[in-house]
Amino acid sequence: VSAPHELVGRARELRDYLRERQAETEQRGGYSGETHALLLEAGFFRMLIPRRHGGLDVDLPTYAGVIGELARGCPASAWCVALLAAGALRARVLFDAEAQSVLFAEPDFRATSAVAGVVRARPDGGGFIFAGSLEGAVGARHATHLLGETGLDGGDDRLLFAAPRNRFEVADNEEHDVLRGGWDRVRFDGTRISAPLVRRLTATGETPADPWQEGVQAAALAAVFAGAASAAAEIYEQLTRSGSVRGSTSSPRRLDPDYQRWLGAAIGRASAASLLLAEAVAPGAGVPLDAGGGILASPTATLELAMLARESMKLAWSAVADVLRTAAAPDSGAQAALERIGRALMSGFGDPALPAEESVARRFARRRLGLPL
Amino acid sequence: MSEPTPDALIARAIALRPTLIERAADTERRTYYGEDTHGEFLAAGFYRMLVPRRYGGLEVDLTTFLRVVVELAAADVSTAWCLCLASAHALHLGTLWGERAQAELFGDGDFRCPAVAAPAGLAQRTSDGWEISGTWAYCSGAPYGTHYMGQTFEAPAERGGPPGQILLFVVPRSEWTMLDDWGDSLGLRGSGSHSIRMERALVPAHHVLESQWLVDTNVATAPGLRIHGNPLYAGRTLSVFQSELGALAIGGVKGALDEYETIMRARKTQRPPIVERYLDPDYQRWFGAAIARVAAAEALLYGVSRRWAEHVHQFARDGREFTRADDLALNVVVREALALVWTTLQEDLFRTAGTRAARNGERMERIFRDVSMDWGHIGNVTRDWAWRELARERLGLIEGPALKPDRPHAAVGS
Repeated sequence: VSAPHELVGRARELRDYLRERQAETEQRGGYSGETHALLLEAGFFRMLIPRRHGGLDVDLPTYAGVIGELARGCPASAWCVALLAAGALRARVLFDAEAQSVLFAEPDFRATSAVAGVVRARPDGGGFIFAGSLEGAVGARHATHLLGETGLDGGDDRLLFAAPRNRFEVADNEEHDVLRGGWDRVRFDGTRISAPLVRRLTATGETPADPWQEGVQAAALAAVFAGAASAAAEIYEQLTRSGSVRGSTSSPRRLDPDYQRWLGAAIGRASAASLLLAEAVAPGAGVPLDAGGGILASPTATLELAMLARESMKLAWSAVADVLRTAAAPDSGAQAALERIGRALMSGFGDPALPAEESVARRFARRRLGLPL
Repeated sequence: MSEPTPDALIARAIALRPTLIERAADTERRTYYGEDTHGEFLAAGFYRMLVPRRYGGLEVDLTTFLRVVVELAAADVSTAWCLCLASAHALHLGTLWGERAQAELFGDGDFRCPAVAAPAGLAQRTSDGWEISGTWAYCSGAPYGTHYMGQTFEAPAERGGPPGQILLFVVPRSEWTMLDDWGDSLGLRGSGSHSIRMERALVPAHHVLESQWLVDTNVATAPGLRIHGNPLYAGRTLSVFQSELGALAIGGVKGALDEYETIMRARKTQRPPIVERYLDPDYQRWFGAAIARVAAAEALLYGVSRRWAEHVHQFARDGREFTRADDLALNVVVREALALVWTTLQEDLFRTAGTRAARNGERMERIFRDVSMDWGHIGNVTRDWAWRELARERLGLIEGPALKPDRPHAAVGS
């Protein structure tokens, strides 16, 4: 069993490897099979699997720490790991013990989910037949499962389902998304899934809170942003050390008062982003941990987390935006690396699965005002 | 009487809020809080928070101190400012001065000490110390101060020559008078930030630190850790001073959130549908955005003070130096917290609270004036300087030792 700091250390060791492959990962729309093998070996996909099923059951700071370190190498790869690893957390909350035994029989259980598209389900004996296609299934090509929710033909009931990888096709994604680096399309072709991997939600019954949507996603994205901002500040520091002021060949950037100021601000905002996230996920910060030390959600704590994570993301983004505005990197490799970071964060901000800042803010206000969320 | 716990101190600050809000207008008129408030602060132990235990102090951690300041500022920024700046500088006396000076100056722990970083006046060397004269402006905490901690220069060696080294001194109240010159600024009118005048004050040599600039001190060789055995007295100051400004502004805007909620419940929207503002989606959004930013700023502030504590503990335990780059890295994070609360006060809260809230004597109006003074304080004007200094540290451009306030980056311990 890996100690938390070992996991973060392993992520740190992979940073340069991921950075060197960042361009090809972006081009491919996802990291390679070789990279996947290294991530598997490091144990990252076991982070949120319960101990009784052989997982590591780490706490939220460790999870965010790993994602942040990976993001310093490659934001897209980090996001992919973040989402696939968090599948275990969702499975623990959304499915019963019997289903979990089946799902976690796969020791490196890693589940994607989709943000768009339609799959319909119709009852068939004890199970259901699924048909349709989904978009934006991050890292589906490397996943063991897909967790989804869908309407049920002929009624208002809904179904939660955990589809094993052999029940759906993953199509090539020609129009991939930059950050998610694996904006995969998934197709269900009349495949059958049965209990315990489907859970029927009646229209009048209670819908279980998905911990991913309720805050862990925001924390993971903030970890990606903070890591990416640190990487941008690092590149900017190198450029400031070696470059000359724009429009000059002889005036060194490192002695220029503007570049000094921009560098200090970039470092300051990147570290503020990391520090804020670390405080938001710290034990005692209001995010309850279950007996095993892992993450389980409660609506108020996760709302708080979502809010602080969003502020952290904004700090990271302001660091990166100023770096992009002023870098004018003479070295095309550095410029390309900064632009990749910029593209990744832009698509992260627009993640359709992430609730809009305004709606989260309003929920915060309504909670304080004693109004229904 | 048993010592109050950190939680009890914070709870006491929160409990005092309604009273302090009620007295805020009087505090402004008087230019500092009244004897009643002073008595309550004495009884609560607030002035002793950073005084060493051996002199009867509480030696609370930096985070507790800042939390108390935040909670008081949530009631009245002026009051909290006066309290904070009178009680914070015990930390520096406990850190930087020798044992004999500390025993004499702390006495039985009744120590309230304004301090100003800008040097003024001049000091002449005497046979056993210094004779210091001058006037120091903006000595917040002066009204109930028992001491003053200040900076001056050694008089020029020859007439008309450049001043000599910078000196950092502490003198008891018997050596200074407070001028009646505070209360006409935009905000912080009740912060007790009067000038202090000294005329040929005789100061023993061991009460004066030579070539020392309080704002940016190297504490690696300071005696505080040895004397008190507590890493609290082994810390650098750049992030501490910034955190005080941060706590005061964050507290102020926390108070603005309370006031905004009151306004939302009492007033209606101005365009259809006409409803109570607290039911309106825009007011909810503005309020929620402000809640988020204040929560983020508070998390940043306490995150910094906890990391400051990690640095001093590491230094005490393993001798790992708490470097100037470390201190600056924390300092610039607090500045982000300050920017968050100022931005949300002017963009989200004050802008949308309505004209009624901006009238003289309104709580929102006072908070806006007070926090704007914090944002315009020299400690916040120097944000660009701090960014640059951090960059210069990273780029290896800082070379020491040399010390002058115009080259504060080269500050070293004496």
